[in-house]
Amino acid sequence: MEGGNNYFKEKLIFTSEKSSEQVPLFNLHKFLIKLFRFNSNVESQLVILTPLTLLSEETLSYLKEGPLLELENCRRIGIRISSETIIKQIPLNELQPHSRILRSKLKKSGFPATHPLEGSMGYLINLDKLLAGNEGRR
Amino acid sequence: MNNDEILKQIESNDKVEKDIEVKEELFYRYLVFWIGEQKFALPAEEVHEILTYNEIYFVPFVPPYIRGYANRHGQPYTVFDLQMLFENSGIEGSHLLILKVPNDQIALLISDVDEIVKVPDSKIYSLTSQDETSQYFSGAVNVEETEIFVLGVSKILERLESDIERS
Amino acid sequence: MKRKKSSVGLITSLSIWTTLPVILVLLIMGGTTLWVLGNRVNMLVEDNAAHTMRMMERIVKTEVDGAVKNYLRAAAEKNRDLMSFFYQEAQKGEISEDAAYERIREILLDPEYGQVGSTSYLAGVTTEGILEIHPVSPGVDASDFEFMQKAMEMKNGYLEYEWKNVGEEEARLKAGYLSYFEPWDIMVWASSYKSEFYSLIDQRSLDDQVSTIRIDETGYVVIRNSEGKIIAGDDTLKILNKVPADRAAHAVVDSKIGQVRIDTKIQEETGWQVSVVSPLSPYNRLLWMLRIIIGLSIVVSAVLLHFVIRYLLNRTLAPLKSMRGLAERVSQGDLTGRIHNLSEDEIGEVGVIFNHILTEFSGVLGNNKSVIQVLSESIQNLSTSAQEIASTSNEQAAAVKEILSTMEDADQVSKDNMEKIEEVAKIANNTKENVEQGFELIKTSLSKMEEIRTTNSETIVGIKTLGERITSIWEIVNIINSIADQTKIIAFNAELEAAAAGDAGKNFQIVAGEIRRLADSTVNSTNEIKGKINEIQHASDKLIVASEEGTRRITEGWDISTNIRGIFEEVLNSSEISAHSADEISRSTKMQVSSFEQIFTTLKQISESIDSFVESTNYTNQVSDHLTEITESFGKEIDGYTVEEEKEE
Repeated sequence: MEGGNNYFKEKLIFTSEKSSEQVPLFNLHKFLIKLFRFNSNVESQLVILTPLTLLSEETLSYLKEGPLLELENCRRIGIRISSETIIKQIPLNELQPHSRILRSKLKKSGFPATHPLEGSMGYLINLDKLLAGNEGRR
Repeated sequence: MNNDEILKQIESNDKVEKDIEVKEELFYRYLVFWIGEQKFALPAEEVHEILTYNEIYFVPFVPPYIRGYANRHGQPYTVFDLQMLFENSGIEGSHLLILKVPNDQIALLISDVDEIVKVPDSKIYSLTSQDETSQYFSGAVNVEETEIFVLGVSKILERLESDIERS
Repeated sequence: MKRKKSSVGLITSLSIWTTLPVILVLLIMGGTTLWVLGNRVNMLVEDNAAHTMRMMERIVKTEVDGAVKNYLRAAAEKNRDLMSFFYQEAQKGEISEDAAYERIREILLDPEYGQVGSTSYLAGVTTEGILEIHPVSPGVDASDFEFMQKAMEMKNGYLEYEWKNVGEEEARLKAGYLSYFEPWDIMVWASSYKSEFYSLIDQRSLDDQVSTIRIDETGYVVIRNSEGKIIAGDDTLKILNKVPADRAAHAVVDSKIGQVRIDTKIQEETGWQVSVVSPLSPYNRLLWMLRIIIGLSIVVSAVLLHFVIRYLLNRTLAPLKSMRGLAERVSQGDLTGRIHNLSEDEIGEVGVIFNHILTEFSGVLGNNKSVIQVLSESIQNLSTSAQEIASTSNEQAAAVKEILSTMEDADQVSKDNMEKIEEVAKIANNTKENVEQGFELIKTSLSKMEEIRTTNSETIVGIKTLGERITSIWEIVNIINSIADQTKIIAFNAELEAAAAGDAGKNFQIVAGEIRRLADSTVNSTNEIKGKINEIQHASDKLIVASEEGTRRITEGWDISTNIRGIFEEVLNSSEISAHSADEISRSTKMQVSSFEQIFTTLKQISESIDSFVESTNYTNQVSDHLTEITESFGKEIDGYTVEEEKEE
C-alpha cells in the first residue's frame, strides 16, 4: 500500500504578517487503524509538528516528489496521532527485538522493535521509514 | 509355595522391570495434538512447553498463516496457524505449542493436546514422496494403527522466509 | 366454418387439376408448332436467297458472255468481210489473188489494228489447224490442241478455252470468235483473255436488270466488282459495309427495316461479288405474332376451361354442399331440414337416403318426445300427490309430536315434582342435623384441600431451590474440569521437561505421567458427574412441570369446593319446609301423574303409526324424484333435437 499519498490529504496553513507556511499532515492515526485492522471510527485530535530537517535524505526526496510537490515554503511536517497519547520514559531493556524470522521485514517497514507488557504488545515506530512508504515499494 | 520360591518370584519380577527398562531406550517420544479435526505429531524434544490460550497480537506485513505475536515471558513469539497454511482457513485455537527453535521464538496455534506417546523405531516412517501436501512433514508415526504425520518445523520456517522475501 | 372452406377448396383444386394437363398439352403443341414454323421460315428465306443468287449468277454470266461474244464476233466477222472484200477485188481482177491475200494479211497483222483486247491479236487459221496468219508464230501447226480441234470442227462460232503461256503458272480463260472464209480456207480468229472484256459489259443493262429485282418487296441485289465498287444495283439500306469480309458468304445484320439476311457469292470468272439482301423482319414479325396468338389462346383457353370446369363441378357438387349444411344442422340438433333439388345420379340417391334417415329419426324422436311428455306428467302428478301426502303427514306427525313432548315435559315435571317433594319431605322430615352434618363434611374436605395446596406450593419451592443448587454444582464441576485441564497441561509440560532432561528426568517423568493420569481420571470423573447432574436436571425439570400441572388441578378443585360450600349454605338456609304441605303436594301430584300416563301411552301409539306412514311416503318421494331425474336427463338429450312437429307450437 502506498502509505504516502493516501494519508497526506490535509495540510495546515499558518499565515502571519511576513509569510505563510504550509504544513502537510500525515494521518498516522488512520494509517495505523487501517494497518492493524482495528475497528474504530474515532478521529484523531492531536498533531505533532516535526521539522523536515529531522527526516532522512531518502525520505525527503520521496516526499518532495509526492505529497510535498507543490507546497511552497514548507519547513515542517505534521503527524496526526491518536488523542489517547501519553509521553513516557521506557528503559531500553523493556524493548524486545522482533522474532528473528520477521525482523528484517518489519524493520524495513518502519517497525524496528516491540514493547511487550503484561496483557499487551507495543510496537516501536520509525517514522522516517514509515513516511518513505518503504513497505509498499518493491 | 515355600519361602524360597516366593523370593525367586520377587526377584524375577524385578528382572522383568529391568528388561522393560532396557527396551524403553529404543522408544521415541512424540507429542500428538489436534489442529482443527486433524491430528499431527512432533518429536517431544522439539516442544518446549504447552500454554493454554494466550492473547495473540496482530502483526502487520506478514502472511495470513502468521496470526501474530504471543507474549511469553516478555518476549514476542511468532504464532503459526498451520490450518491456514494448509487449507486457507484458520482455527479457533486454544493452546499454543512453544517450539524449541534455536535463535528464534516460534509457537504453533493448536486446538488441543491429545497425548504423549512412546513410538518404537519400527513404527516411525520417513516420507516417500514430496508433493504439495507433504512438503511440510518430516515423516509419520503409527499410533494404535493410525498414521499421524510428523511436522517438519524447519520446512515450515523456510516457507515463511521465502514468503517474506518475496513480499 | 372450417367445413365450408374444404368444399370450396375441393372444387378449386379439382378444376385446377383438370385444367393443368390440358394447358400442358396445349403448351407442348404450341411450342412444337412455333419451332417447326420458325425452322421452315428460315429455310424458306435461305432457299429464296439461294434461288436469287443462282439467278444473278446466270444474269452476270449471260451479260459477260454476251458482251465478250459480241465484241469478238464483231471483230471476226468484220475482218472476214474485209477478207471477202479483198477476194472480191481479186475476182474482179482489180488485184491479184496473192496481193489481195497479202493485203488482208497485212491488215490482220497490223499491231494496232489487229489488237484484240489488250494483249491479244487477230489471227487466221486454216481448217487444218495451221496458224497461217499469226503475228507471233506463223505457220505453226496447232492442231494438237483440243481447242484447235474444236475450232477446226466449228469453223464459225464462239468458243472458250483455257490457255497457259510458257512461263505462266496458271491457265487463264480465253474467248474467241471464228468467222470462216472458205475460198481461202481461213478462219478469222478474234480471241483474247476473257477477263479483258469484263469492262465491256454493258453496266447499264446489267444495272437495269439487277435494280428491278426485289426480294419480298424490300430486299435487293447488289453486284460489286473485285475492288468493292458497286457496278449494278443499289445498296439502299447501306449495310454491305457492315458485313466483315470473313462472313461474306451469309450473315444476318440489323438495318433500318429490321433484320436482314445478306448472302454474298464471289463470281469465279469475274471476281465480282454478288450480294443478295433478303429482309427477315416480315418473317420475324409473323413469328412473333404467332407466338403471341398461341400464347394468348393457351392462357384464354386455360382460364375458360378452368371456369367451365368449376361451374360444372359446382353444379354437380351442389347437392353435396347442401347435404353438408344439413348434416351440420343435424349435429347441432335441428332435424327439420331436408335436401331439395335432388339430381338423378348417385349423389342424388345419397340425398334421398339422407332425407329418409332424417325423417325416420325425427319420427322416432317425436314418438320419444311425446312418450316422455306423458311420462313426465304422470311422474309429476305422482310426485306432487306423494309430496302432499308427505307434508300433510309431516304436519300431523309434528303436531302429534308437539303434543307428545309437551305431555312428556308435563309428565316429567310432575314426576320430578313428585320425587322432589318426596325427597324434600324426607329431608324435611329428617332435620337440619343432616344438612349440618353434610356441611361439616364439606368444611373438613375444604380444609384438607387447603393443606394440599399449601404443601404443594412448598414442594414447588423446594424443587426450584433444587434447580438452583444444581446450577451451582454445575459451576463447581466446570471449575474442577478447568483445573483438571490445566493440570493436564502442566503434566504434559512436566513430561516434556523430563524428556529433555533425558535420564536424569526419568523419575520425574514417571511422576509427571502419574499427574497426567490423575488429571485424566479427574476429567473422566467430572464428565460422569456432569452426566449425572444432567439427568438430575432433566428429572427436576419434569418434576416442576408435573407439579405445576398438579397445582393447577388443585386450584380448580379448590374453586369447585368453595362453590359447593356456598351452595350448601344456601340449601341450609332454605331447607325449612313444612312436612305437612310437602305431603299434600305429594298426594295430588301422584294422581296427576297416573292420568298423564294413560294419555301419554295413547299418543305414543298414534305417533308411531304416523311415523311409519311418513316413512313410506318419503320412500315414494325418493322414487319419483329419481324417476324425474332420469326423465329430465333423457328429455334434455332429446330436447337437443328440433323436429318438425314442435314448429307448430
